[in-house]
Amino acid sequence: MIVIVDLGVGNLFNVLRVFNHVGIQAVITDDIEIIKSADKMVLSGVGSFKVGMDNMRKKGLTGVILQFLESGKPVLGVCLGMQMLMDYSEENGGVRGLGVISGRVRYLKSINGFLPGFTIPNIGWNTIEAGKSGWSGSVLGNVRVVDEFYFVHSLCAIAEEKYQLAVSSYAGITFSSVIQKGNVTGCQFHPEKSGDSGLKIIREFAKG
Amino acid sequence: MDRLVVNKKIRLIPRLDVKGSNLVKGVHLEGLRVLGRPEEFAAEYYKDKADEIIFMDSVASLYGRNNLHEIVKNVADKLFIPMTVGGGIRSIEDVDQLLRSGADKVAINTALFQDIEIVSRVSDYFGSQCMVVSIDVVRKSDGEYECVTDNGRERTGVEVFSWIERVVKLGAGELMVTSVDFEGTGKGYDVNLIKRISERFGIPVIACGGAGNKEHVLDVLRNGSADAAAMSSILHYDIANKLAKDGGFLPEGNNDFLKKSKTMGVKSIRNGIESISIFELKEYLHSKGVFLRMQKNTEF
Repeated sequence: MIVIVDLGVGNLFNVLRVFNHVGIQAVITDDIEIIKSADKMVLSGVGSFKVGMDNMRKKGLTGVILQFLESGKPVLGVCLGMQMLMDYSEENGGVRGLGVISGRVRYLKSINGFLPGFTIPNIGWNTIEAGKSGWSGSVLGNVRVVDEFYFVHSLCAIAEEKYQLAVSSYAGITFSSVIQKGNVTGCQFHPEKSGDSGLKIIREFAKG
Repeated sequence: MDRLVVNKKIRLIPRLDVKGSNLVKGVHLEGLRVLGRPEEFAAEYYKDKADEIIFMDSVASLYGRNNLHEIVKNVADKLFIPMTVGGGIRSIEDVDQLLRSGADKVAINTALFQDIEIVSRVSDYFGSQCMVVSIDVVRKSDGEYECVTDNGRERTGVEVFSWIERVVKLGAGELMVTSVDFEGTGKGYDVNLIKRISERFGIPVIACGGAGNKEHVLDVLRNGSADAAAMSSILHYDIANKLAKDGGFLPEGNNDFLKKSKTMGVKSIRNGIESISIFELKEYLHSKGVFLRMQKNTEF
């Protein structure tokens, strides 16, 4: 069973819907016991990094989430959920993340080279390009060069290269679009909102 | 803020106006025509690779609320692209209900004129990416633009640019700008207005209202610097024609148009408005150098 952790940031119902669509049982919860006993975990969110981390603490979930992340069981981080896996975000004046995958989260607009004329947030579809190691064996196993994914974000993750499964570009800035460490994978985009392409990732994560 | 001619990736968004359980199309001075089931149209658009979908409850003001939840749920269970829902949304509770039903974003207009702080509440609670401020606009005789509400029926006396400045400050994630004068006419978008708005505020602008052919869409993207173009007439008639030929469902209401289309085909009914599919539109724009998502959904 897949557990979608409820951190009170963002709409989780569409994440649930997409797992229902591929025929996998999933539940939205903030119950520690249910999370502990799940086979796989999804950390999804849209909104403030600080609010996400604070809610995690307030709900007493930090411990069980970190344990799950270290357990080797598959985890999928989506958007803010992916960003929280990292060390640090410069949002809200600077906030510590879970520190599971090294790297930091930065405002797109503050990165050197951000081209004028592009809006914030980055809202729209984009392709992803393989990082150094290629994709086989990861949740991106069936993803091809032409697949596109739906992004909506104002901050981006810059992960250490060895954890960078895929990169994307916006306004002249290249950032980590998919990160991976062991069985923990994170996507900056929304696989549950990326049509066929997104469904490939959801299926790959859900199976096995 | 100076906007260079940037080749940003744009989005094409079919806009579906719904009355009860039917898809309708309002036409300047001609009332509403019933075109069919919104879910069927949405499914066709998804297959044709629409980048997002917008559902507007066109009679929400009559009932005092948005009634699209059933349709939204049906669509969200099958179509995995972003969905924006609007019409009659007045409170955080309304937004919550719609997001639970499957909407990703909400479009709000009328209620903001009673309480503009809804923008900041929605944006704080659900994230600014969820908060699409919908702006319906008319051009006054002095050349200035005024905001209107209630689906174009009520004037507000509020000047558009000062309004936009306020909602952007409060946390609007995107602006959906509809020119009421142009909407349904097929004469094109108000490209100048869109350009002025796009160049002045740094947030994404969805141009809505007026597309009669593919050249209009190219114009508003290229010359209006719009981040997305929403359209109704040019897409709906193509699908209506297709579904009518397939021999299906004939809904109640003003369906003379559909009965005629079974025999005559759509082009002859709607003068001056081209009938095109999203995919054909994308191919055309792509051939003109517009940067957009070209890949087709193979699964349904």
